[in-house]
Amino acid sequence: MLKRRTVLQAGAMTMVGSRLVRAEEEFRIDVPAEFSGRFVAFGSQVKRGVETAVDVWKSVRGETVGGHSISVTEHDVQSNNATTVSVMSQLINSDRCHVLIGPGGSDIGAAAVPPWKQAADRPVWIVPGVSTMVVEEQIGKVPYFFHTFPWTYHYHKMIVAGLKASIGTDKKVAIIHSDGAYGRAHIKYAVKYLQDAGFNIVAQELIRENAPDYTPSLLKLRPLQPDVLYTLVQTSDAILLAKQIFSVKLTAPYLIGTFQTTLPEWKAALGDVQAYWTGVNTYIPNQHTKADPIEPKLFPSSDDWEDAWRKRWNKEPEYMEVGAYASCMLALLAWRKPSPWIETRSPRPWLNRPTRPRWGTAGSNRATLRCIRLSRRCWTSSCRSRAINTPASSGIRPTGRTVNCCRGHRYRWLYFSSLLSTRC
Amino acid sequence: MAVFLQLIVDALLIGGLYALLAVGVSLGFGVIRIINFAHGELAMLGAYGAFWAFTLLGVDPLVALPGLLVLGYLGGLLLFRGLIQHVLRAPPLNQILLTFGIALVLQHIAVVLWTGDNRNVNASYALSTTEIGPVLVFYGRLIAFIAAACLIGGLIAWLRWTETGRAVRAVAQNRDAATLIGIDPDHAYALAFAVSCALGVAGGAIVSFPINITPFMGFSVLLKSIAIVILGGMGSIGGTLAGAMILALAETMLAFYVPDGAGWTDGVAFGMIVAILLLRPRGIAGQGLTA
Repeated sequence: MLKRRTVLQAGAMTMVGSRLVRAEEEFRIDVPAEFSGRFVAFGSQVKRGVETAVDVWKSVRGETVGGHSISVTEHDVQSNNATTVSVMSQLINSDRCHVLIGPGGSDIGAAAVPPWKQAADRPVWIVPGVSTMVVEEQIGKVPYFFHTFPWTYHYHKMIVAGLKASIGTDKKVAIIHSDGAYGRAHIKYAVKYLQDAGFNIVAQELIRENAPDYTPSLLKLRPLQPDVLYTLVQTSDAILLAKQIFSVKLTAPYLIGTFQTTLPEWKAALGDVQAYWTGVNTYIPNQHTKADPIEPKLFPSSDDWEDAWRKRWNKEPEYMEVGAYASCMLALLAWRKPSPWIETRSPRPWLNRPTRPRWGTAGSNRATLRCIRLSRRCWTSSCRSRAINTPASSGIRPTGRTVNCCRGHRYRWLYFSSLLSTRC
Repeated sequence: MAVFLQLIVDALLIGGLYALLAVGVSLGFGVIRIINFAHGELAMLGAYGAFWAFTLLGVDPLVALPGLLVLGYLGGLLLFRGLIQHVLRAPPLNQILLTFGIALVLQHIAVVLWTGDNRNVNASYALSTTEIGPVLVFYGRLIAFIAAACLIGGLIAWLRWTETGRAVRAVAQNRDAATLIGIDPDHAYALAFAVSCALGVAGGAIVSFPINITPFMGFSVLLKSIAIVILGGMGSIGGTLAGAMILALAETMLAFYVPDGAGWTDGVAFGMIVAILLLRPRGIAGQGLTA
């Protein structure tokens, strides 16, 4: 028969042992993202952002976070909804990960929601992309979900405000939207904000995702002679659409896209055809924003950060790379307090705290570090006017400032908006 | 009327491209009775070949076309000798899995080598247009159509008037009879497969300037090609041409005349295929290799 003392000793040793094991536990950052398939570009951007953040953290704060070594594991969701569900379920229910960062695309992000939502013990999930309202409607207010990116309506609120201020609302607008999740998610808000502003919407034309020919749809719009052509399609379709708009001589003076119009991919694909297109973005290089006053080494001035990025990756930073960097850095900061074990719930209050201006903008959510900008870019390599906006301020503030670039293009839409509450 | 003419011209030009992409699938199936599910990926490689020739060497896709044709032919020959000929007598499922596997491997190699970014060949004529009466003609598509027509014409001429072409047709019609008169069927198979691969690569090079190039473009090319081949009739070059034109016309008219019709184009195309399979399973021109 066991003595009481022996049982107590065994119990105490087990407790101490388990604490020791937990102290050696790695802080797991799992990145479920699109590393193959149609949205592969998003996955590689998220990966680069996270890897850079972890390396910067290690060089500034050492190899550990809160006393735990850091492990980053990428998981390929293959740009496929079913795979996304399976990967998320595995990470949440079996692997018991601490923080999830990714995916990037709206369709895939929406597919990732159910396994996370259904889990009893949810890890913190920070999404550096995904604008679809499906995600916000389902989990926007759920604790432990953080979103460092604008939602669909932010795009259109921003664009329409810019249009209204610069060209007035007595204009005819024709909308082209794709039949995929992206187009369907955006059309509602584009129409709402355009109508609320008083624009005359003369046509809403649906096009097929991945179609090789949009000419019939464009031919329908040509006789209407719209002043503004407002396109709601994803990048690959947008490139082909822009080419065909040029070819069919659909000469709307104002050509509006979303994020794609600021991407190097767009520039490379379209050359001069991309001139006169306007879009939004959460990050544009060369803005000369100051370093974060509290964490200047983790969030240095944009010039320093961009220089380091270019040296490391030999390329300009993309918006989702910046988003993934910020998301990962926030996760590391949230768990920075030394702790013998990793508690997935403790950092939430910190993540939800109001923020001071960091990287150019203030926000009601710590995870919202950036802004959304309406810009037209001149892509001529020698031209320095390629990224234009105004100093940071809160709210939408059209400035009306005019800049002439090297090609004589007049850039008049210089707007800057702090999108404060991306988590809503 | 002007709009209707415009739509007809657009549909014809698009139909020519569809035909070129589908004709290789049709030839491959007509002779060796294997549907090559990697055909779309071969077109993707052709498009990348044209892109890199244009970007790195400044060579126009049309100038690069003969070289890409030869590369496609040699690649097809290698593929046949290395892999395809081992499943010639295997169950159809094995053949499908093999070619599908090849497609996946090629796609992932392309992602690793060139990333998933969109690429475009911005040749000077790619976006130019001219107005002929009330009709706007895209130079890029017109040039692509002419190139496609030349290649399809060359294929028909080869099948009809050359000894090797006739040998391929003979094997397609009756392998045993062809063997009896001294034709080597394995050689004919290899030749037909290599030519179908070369056509796929050439098709990709030609569509490199009207459409976007990505590692994932192959699947939609394959899907459309198979739809056309079923519509036109497996193994019939003439049927494939007719199928391509019908599909292009149906898509264009639907997109213009039906509200939100552009969203239904794929559905209607596949609806037509279902109807053909139910009412006339041999397609428009049926089995057998007819030029």
